[in-house]
Amino acid sequence: MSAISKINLPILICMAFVQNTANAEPPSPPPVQNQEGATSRVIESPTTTLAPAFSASIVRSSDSLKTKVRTEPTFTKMTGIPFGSYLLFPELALYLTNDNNIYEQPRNTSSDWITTLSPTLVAKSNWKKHALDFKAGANIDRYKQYTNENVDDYWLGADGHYDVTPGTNFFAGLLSSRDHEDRGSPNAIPGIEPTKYDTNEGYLGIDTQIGRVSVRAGVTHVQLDFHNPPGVVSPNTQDDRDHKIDSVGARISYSVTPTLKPFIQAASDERCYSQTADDLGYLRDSKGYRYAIGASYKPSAILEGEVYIGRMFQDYDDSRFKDMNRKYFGGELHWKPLVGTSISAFLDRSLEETTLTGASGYVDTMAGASIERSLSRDMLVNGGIYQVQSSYQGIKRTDYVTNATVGVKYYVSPVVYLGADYRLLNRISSVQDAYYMRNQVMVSLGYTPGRKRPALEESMSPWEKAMAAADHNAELHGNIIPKLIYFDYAQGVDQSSTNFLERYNYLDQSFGNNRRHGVIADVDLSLVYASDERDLMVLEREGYGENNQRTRLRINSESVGFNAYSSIFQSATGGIDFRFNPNAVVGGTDQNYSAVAGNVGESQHISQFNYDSIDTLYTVNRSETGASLMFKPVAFDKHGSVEVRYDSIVRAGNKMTNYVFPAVALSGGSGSTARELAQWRGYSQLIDEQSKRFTFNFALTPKELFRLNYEFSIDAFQNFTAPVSIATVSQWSGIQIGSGGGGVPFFNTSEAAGQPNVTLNFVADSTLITNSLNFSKQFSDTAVLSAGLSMARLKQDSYTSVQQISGYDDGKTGTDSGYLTGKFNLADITSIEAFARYSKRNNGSSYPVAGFYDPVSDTSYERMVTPRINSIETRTVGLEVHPYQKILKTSLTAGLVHEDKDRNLTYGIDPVLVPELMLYRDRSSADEIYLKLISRPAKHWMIRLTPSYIDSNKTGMVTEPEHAGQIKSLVTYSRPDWKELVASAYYNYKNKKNSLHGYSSYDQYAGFSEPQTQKVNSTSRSAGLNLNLVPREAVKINLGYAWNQMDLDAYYFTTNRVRFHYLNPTSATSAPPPPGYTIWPLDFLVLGNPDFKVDNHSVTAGAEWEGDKLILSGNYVLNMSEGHNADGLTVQLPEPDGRVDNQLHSLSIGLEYPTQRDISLQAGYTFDYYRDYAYPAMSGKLHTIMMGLNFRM
Amino acid sequence: MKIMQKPHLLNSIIISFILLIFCEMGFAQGEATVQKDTNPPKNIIAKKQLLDLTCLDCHQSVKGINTRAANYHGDCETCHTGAEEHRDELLKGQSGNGSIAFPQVKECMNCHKVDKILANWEFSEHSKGQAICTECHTLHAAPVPGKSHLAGNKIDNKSANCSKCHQDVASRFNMSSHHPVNEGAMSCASCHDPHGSPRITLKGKNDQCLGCHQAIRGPMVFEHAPVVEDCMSCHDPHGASSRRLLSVSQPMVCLQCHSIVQGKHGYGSSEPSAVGTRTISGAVLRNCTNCHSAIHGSHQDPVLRY
Repeated sequence: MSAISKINLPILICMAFVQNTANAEPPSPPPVQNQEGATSRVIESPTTTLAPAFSASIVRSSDSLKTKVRTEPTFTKMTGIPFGSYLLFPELALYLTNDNNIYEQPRNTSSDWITTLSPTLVAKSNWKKHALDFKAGANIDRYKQYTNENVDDYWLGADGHYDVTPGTNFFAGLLSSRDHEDRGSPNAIPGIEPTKYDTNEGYLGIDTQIGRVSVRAGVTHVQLDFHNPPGVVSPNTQDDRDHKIDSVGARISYSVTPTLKPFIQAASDERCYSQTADDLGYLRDSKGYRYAIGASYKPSAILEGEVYIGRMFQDYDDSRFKDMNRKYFGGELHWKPLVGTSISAFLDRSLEETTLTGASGYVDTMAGASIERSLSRDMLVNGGIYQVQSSYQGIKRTDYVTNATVGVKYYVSPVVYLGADYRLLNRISSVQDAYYMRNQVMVSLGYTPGRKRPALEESMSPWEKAMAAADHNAELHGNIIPKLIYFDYAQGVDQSSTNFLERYNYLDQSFGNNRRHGVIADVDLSLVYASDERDLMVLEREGYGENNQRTRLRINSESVGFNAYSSIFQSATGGIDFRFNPNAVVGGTDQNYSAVAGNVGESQHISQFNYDSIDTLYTVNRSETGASLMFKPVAFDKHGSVEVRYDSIVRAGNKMTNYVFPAVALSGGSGSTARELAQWRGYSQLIDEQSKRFTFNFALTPKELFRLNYEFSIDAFQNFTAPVSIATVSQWSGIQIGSGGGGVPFFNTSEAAGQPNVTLNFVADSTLITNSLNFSKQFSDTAVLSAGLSMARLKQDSYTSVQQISGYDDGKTGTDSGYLTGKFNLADITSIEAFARYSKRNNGSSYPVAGFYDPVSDTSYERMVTPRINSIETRTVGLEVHPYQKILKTSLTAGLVHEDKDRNLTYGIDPVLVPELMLYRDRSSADEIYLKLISRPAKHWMIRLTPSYIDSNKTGMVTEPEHAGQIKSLVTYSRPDWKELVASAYYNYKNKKNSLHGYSSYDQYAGFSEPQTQKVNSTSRSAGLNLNLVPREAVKINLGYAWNQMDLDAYYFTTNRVRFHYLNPTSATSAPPPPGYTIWPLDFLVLGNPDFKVDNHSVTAGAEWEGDKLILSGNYVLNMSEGHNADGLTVQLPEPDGRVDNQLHSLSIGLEYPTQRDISLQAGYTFDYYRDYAYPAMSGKLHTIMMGLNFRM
Repeated sequence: MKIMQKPHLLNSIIISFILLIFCEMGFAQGEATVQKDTNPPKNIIAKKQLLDLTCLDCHQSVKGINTRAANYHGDCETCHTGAEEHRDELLKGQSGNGSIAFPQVKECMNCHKVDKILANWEFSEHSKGQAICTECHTLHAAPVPGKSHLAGNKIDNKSANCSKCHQDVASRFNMSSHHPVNEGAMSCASCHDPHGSPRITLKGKNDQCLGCHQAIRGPMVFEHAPVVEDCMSCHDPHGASSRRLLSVSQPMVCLQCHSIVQGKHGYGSSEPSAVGTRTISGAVLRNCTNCHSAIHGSHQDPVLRY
């Protein structure tokens, strides 16, 4: 791959030469998968060659979003093969890569396996003076499936310097390369094959030092020639991208001290395209210049860096392009805190070329960091992340590309290595469908005959040296338990329905695939290696069948920790809800369900619920995988730590989803009743979604002066299910679109033209990017300060067709938050903690959108009946006093908290929805006072008491308390000296009330009914007793009882009109309004004061006995709920909705019996029994028997 | 509808005590031979022998952990100050219990203060609650898996540890609707940071929930206000008697904030003059989400039906 010219080349020439000539170890970068999946190696491009050594880890092309990361194996000891006066560094590497998104598509991605052969050769002159080095290499990519993506990239170059005097030299270089462009590049043309291009470039300059002043100056020439891929014909060819860039620049530095060098630099360039105008008629030739001031700093051999800032300008020949005038800045940091550890960070801005319509170019702002660590003489690990913001000039487009990598390389011999790398590539963009998420996993095999294995003392990390020297203790032990599980749903609903007991225990994948009963095979595993040097390796697996299993691997040393995990859990948690859907119980939807006989009017559709899916087995399978690599504080001499982490969640299954056809949309049929009875429908909606999160964490604790923690994460969520539209549901339900006949209702598109395209329950792709920074500082024993800032940006990445047609093309929210907390110790008497928190959530989505999001209209998709939440701002301040009480060993904390919430809401445009028509308000203001008492009044006793009270004069919702009183209490009596007794009892009480909200008079209409106030009163109570005892040496017993009660009552209101009907005087109503009104006023009326009150009791009992051989254990849990739901409604809810009355028993017995020294038999029996007295059909039983053999190692 | 007869709560308690009896039966089989904590055998070991003893010679195991093989924290005196006095007291024939110190938070922090998870320990709820590290962490051995789950207990070790103190919360995981902690699918630490506090976290109220439930994180065109502000307006994440972790089941959870238009939800027309004369259908009241299924927000429907 060849790089394309960059605007700051001359400056880089001046900056880089010395480092390039001084570097005796050739790079050995891993390959990078381009967007089309081609594997190409980052090569020594002119940009790279001329870049300062400490910026050479990142290379970009100029007019494509290629993601090139080069990680030089700093700790790979390269000695070279002598050849005359040269040293040769050959390398041959074979890579196998799995790329899940080779075309970098937002959805419907294509994956493939790519094999890459990568030979390289570097010849370095081994002279005392002067230098002339050569390099050549190739990346030959072969795709398993998408063979059109095969590419052969290569490069050939030379560079050197001629030393006139010890302080002056001339330097020059040439490079020629063949490369290909990323498929996802904004400039890419969708040809049959990727776009290939050639780069020829050269540079020439002088570097001289006079006293404290050093000057570097040079010129460059870069020429790019793009080739048309097959399938691309005129006028959209690639030829209009051919161009050359000539640059000249200089940097003048002055050594203030041996470590500090301020400098000034300037450069100009001229960019000339081979065609006068591109295919769209733009004149893209330009001239530009840039200048900067800065300083480089190198206090020691292990730390160096530089920063600069200035401005850059570019003038374009085409008058339609606005001249560019932007800030210009950059910086580098290179730090080797320990032997075998290298950290780099950088910041850079440059102007790049593009041929996008209307865009003169784009400004790239890039920041990133990388780390490399030698774990041993033969093992290297690396990780890195960088992000590029590409801001296009002249058009509304901004891209953010994130590239994160983690990898390991292990030398199985001094010259042969095995490698494994993972790379995450993500782009989010302000334009539609430019998003992509791409994962690459690659393994490699390499041969580097020029490498010599480092001597032990040269490369071993401190902990490794300690390991080698120590005569430490270690142990390896483990268990492996193959087992069989037999299950039997002895009672309950049939095979075609989801059982209540399957809600967390979905045992449907057995031999024979019988859901009611079957046998499952699985294996538990536990393998532990631990040494007194704190080296630890744990591999553990626990499995209960294909649908419930988890595996975890931990490898820890003093300086490095690695974690990986995988888990699967399948449940029917939400699927149980379908049992409570209409028709799932006798009388569930028909008219007899209500106290009113007969059904007329608009609500007749409630009389019949129609299933459009025969599948009533609802299940969600959730798979989690992830890995993290952490370099612990010991790795950095306790100055900090670095962690990279990847987490993935995949959810697949189905769920019950309901839908009501709009009444106006149905026509035909045998009368209105037939149409209305066809309106209410339910179907099984597929779930197929994935979330991938990459996290980078960096902590700094320099000499314990302070603690700084930075975390970046990007979380991309993708939904893979095909959208279900109204037309789709119509098809399922036999309702034709557009016309009908034969007495069957049909969807009348003349009445609701756009509706068939509406996507039901659309789940959008989205990306969440979070940056957070924490700082804390301890001031001796007198004070501690902590502060934090966070920015989170959530962006919608896919849109429904209706949204797109309407112009809703930007869904995004942003949340900024921060806190400041301080704790001050006052003369050993008391401590005071003061804190402040702030958060603000902004909704930056498209608004208003004509034809889609209009608060006025009564037409479908154009009405708005709830306020739009533009922003919510929360401010919290508090003070906490903690006096030290030595009497009675009591600790007391008293605190006061004040919280304000301001909501910026748009209720609508005239005629407006007003707050008085709803219970949602724009402000909350609350004060809370609390006490926390922890006392040990006597030996063995501990009392904990935490009362609190909240008083609010404004609340945003009725669920917020106007007044709330709470007390939590706990008494514990522990006697470790007497049968290890621990007995405890607790009681918690919380009452919250709110009567601040109501439907007020709307002064537009004098006849509006009296204000109606909502009064919500909620009380929750809980109490419990627990006893843990070891009555005999080998016996453990625990007993527990818990009671929870929830009691809530509130008013139940009805209203005479739908709000959006009310706002539209023309909406359907036949009755004339009262005298004096042009439309009917909106009235609210109290229909009842329903009450929810449910008691829950839980009894637990467990015991374990460990005999000479036999181990027995037992556990029993009873949970029972009793109460009523919405008691006091005008329509008394019949069972099962109105009454809550159920019991869940769970009894488990287990044993372990050794049959041989290292083998024991394990067996367990579990009986679950659910009995529902209000809804007997939900009752069921489950027997589970487990038999296994425990092999100890 | 036939109502089944309920067994009395007493039956359940009886079952509990049967378990106890079952355990008592095991007592007769003799004393167990599990390795005990080996306190210094001061009565049988001569002073001469004690002089040469190291800590591990006496304390071969602590709480069942073989300290010699898995001495995870290395030097005993790093945490147990006063070990020398402890030994001297033993040499004098005294108990030695008075001089040995057990590590408090300060001792642990001497080494672990640079750990990033402990950056704000001073402000954490556990710190204010006077919790010490050893109440949760095992110090004498590497953090390795516990025993197999013989009696069907799938809960992870961390969560089991939390439930020792947070019994009121633990009881909610026995309710018919709960997050699957007892089933082992997640841990208390999946949501809670035991070393932190809500005051010093940069995560919002809903961030913990949306970290797993991304499908409802939006951005939504039509947002549901309580969903945006606080998931716990409606849900109790630990457990509830109502389905879907609802603190209060439908329709009550909805009726607190919402009036119902009779013409659209019950029997009768939508004549505005008919307010108070129509009846809302019970079929509607049983489950509002039977129609308003996009309750967490919709991309297209302002009344959250799809």
